[in-house]
Order: sequence, then structure tokens, then C-alpha cells
Amino acid sequence: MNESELPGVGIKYWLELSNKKKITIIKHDSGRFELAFSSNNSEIPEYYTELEEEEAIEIGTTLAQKVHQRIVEKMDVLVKNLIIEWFKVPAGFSQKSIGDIQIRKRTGVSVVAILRDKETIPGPGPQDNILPQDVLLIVGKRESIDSFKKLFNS
Amino acid sequence: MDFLLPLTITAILLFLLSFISNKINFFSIPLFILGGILARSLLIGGVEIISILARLGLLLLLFYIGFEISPVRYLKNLKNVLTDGSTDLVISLILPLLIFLLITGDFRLSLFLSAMLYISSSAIDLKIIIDSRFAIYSFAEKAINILLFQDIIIAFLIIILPVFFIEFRSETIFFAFANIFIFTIYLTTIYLLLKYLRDFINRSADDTIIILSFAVLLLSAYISERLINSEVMGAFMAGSIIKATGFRIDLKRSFASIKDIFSPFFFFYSGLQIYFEFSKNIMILIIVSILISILSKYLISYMLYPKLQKDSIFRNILFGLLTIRGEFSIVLASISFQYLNENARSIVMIISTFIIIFNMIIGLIFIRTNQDRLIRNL
Repeated sequence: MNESELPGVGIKYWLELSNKKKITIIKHDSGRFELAFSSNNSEIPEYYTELEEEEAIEIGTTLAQKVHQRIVEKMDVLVKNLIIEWFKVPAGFSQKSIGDIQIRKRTGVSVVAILRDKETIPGPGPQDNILPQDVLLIVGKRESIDSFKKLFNS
Repeated sequence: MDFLLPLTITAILLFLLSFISNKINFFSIPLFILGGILARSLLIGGVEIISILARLGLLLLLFYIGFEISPVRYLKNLKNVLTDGSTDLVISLILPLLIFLLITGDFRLSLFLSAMLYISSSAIDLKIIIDSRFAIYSFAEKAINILLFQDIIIAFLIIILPVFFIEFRSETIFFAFANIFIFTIYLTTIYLLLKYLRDFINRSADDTIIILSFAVLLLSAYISERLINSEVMGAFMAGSIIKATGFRIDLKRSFASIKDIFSPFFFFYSGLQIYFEFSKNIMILIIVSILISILSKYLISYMLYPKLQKDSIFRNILFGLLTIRGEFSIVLASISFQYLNENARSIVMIISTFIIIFNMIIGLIFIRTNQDRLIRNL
């Protein structure tokens, strides 16, 4: 991804794709995003849209998750049955600490990190709370991960 | 006249002008200046009082500009800024300077006129680029590169003018240069002192840091005025120093609202100072200035988008952006008051007013019509 600074506006990112198209993204200082697709030989976009910060994060996270899953699948073969996965806590979840939920005891999964807005909590302890919409980095066996998801989704 | 009455009348007029500018989707600076021209008879006796707030408005504006101009901004795109900006410098500053020199024979007047015509309005252009969704296009990047380069030149002009036109309070050249030296020592000392005390200051409340910054602004303006006869340079340098010290709060945002209150008084006061006494020579100078200001920016836009038909939309919008003049031109016109005689001052002020109003209309027409063409091509 190429980038150039637009002082007073934000940052411009662009990527030329293998199908001769170009994606241009403007990240405004205000947090707003602009996204445009154009042909390599034309600057006038074939498609243009604006994204709020939350929407851009949602798309970015989803794409990153998909890429991450592929990496994890490869790692899965390497580490035999040990899975590393991102998990987004459902909106309806009511705040509890890791110790209260007894995650490791009940599911066998370890929470390696908590991502909350712009804050990251690496290696959280039993006293650390899990909030709705937190993104958790978890490690465990496939069946443990399934049981972890079942616990949170119930 | 009572102290509060002219201020109250001006504040109400500024509110109405700001309201109208929002309603008609036009920028407020030319309306503030026009308001000042039209309200002169209403405010006879109160101009002195308004001038105090206007002076504060100018200092805050320069402080803010000093705060905005950061070397880091140029380093990231240095090559493009230099390429696009230096072409603009030659065509819209050096060439007009030579033309004005030929017409007037007065170097100071020519320098101020050409500098006023050269500087586009970064504040207005950036707002148009953001609001009109132009940032994805290459012409926006080119416009920003040119605006950044113009920032460097205006910073250079603000710093160099008092030195260039040596009109020091001191009686001998030796003392004049000694004053420049003392001022440099002052700036270095205040920078090092604030840097040294930064952690201590950062532990203070937000309002303490804001008041300290304001005190540095006024102190620097005062010392600069006493030593080198230029308070605006002190205000500008104070902004750069405060920015460089890295206080913990967002001072740019804190000062933006104070600037937004006082700078309209400055624009309005600029209008109050304009006396229209048209002679044939002034009319010729106004027409030549308008032509130069438009043709030079069109030439730049043409050089950056020379050939393809489809590029004409980009060329026209770039031209529209560059042709708009605003706060910098009127600031330069105000600075010129220190260095020009009464006749030349009046010429600079009248031309800056015409350029700001006329070019803004032309620029906006070009931007809006070509924006429609751009949307139809989407």
C-alpha cells in the first residue's frame, strides 16, 4: 500500500490491483474515510463511498481476521491442534472479569490479549474485565475454542 | 464614544455577516472586510477601540500560523512540494514582482503587491478540498503541495521583512544588528526554558498552560516590536516555539476558538481603514493586479495539467483553488503598513480587498462548475 501525507486533510493510501484497478483510501484527520475504485488509466472513480470511522474499522477488522484465519490455519498444522483466534465479545454480554467467568477452568482456553477501542491489554489477569464489543485474542484446542464460543454466545 | 458600544455594534455586525456567509455558502473573510468598509460612518469615534481587538486578532492569527507551519509537514513530501511549489514561486511571485517594479518603480510596494497576489488561502482551500470530497484526486495533492510551499515563503517573508527593510528604532546599524542578535537570544532562551520546564508545566492544569502560551505570545510580540519594529514576527515565532516545546494539551484547538473570535475584528478593521480615492493610476494597478493574480495561477494549473482534454476539469478546479486569496493577503497588507508611505498603504489595502473579493468569486465559480462536471463523470 502506497501512502502520502495530505497536511491539513489526512493521509492518502492507494493500491494498484492485479486487475488493473486502483483502490484509493483517504483517512481524514477527523476520523472519516473516503474509498474510491478507479481504473489504472483514469483518475475519475468508477465507485466512490464514504465511511464513518466505525465502519472502516469494522471492514478492516473483518479483512484482517480473514487473513489472520488463513495464517492460523497454517499454524494449526504446525502446532497440532492448537488454535489462535480473534473473538469479538457479543454486544449483549454483561461485563465480568476473567476470574469470575473462570474461562480457563470451564473451557480450557487462555485469553492472551484484550483489544478495546484504542487500548490493548496484553496478558490479562483474572481481575481484568471483559466488556461487550471487546476483541479477545484466545489460544486453545479446537474443542476448547468451540466451547469458549458457546459460553460467550449463550 | 463609550468603550463597549463600538465593540458591541461590531460584534453584532460580524455575527450577521458570518450568518449571511453561511446562508449563501460564501466565505466570511471578504464579507467582514466589506462590512468594515460600509460601517465606517456608523463607527466614527470607535475605530480606535476596535483597533485594539483587531491588533489582538492579527497577533492570534500569526501565532496560529506559526503553530500550523511545521517543518515535519514538508519533509514527508519534500520532493513534490519543492517541484510544484518552486514553479508557482517563479510564475506567481517573481514574475509579478518584476512587472510591478516596471509599472511602479517602487521596490517595497512591488514586493508587497506581488507577495499578496502570490499567497493563496490555505484555510479556505483545505476546507473546500475536504467538503467537496476532492482529496482522492491528484489535483488536491498538487494544490496542497503548492500551499505548503507558499507557507514556507510567507514564513520566510514574515521573518525576513523587518531585517530586509531596516527601519529599526536604533540610530546606528551596529545597534540595529545588535537588536536582531538580542531578539535571537531571546527566542533561543524562551525555547530552551520552556523545553526545560516542559514536564513541570505539563503537570499544571489545562488553563494554566493556555494562559502561559498566551503570555509567551504577548511577550514575544512586545519584545519583537521594541527590538525590530515587528510585533507580528514575535507572534509568529511564539507560535512556532510553543509548538516545538510539545506541551501535553492540544493548544492548536484551544487557540482556534480564541482566534475565531478576534480575527474577524481584524478583517473588519482592515475594511474600516480603506479609503477609496480612485485615480487613473490606481485603477490601472487594480486591473493589472487582478489580471496577474488570475493569469499566473492559470499558467501554473496549465503547466501541471497541460494536455489531455479530460484533465481540463482537474486543471480548472486546481486553478479555482489557487486563485482564491484570503487571510494571508490581508495579513501581508497589514504588515505592509509598517514599511510603506500613506499613499502606498492605501494602494495595497484597496488592491488586497479587490483581489480577495474578486478572486474568491472567480475561484468559486470555477470550482463549482467543474465540480458538477466531475460528478457527471462519476
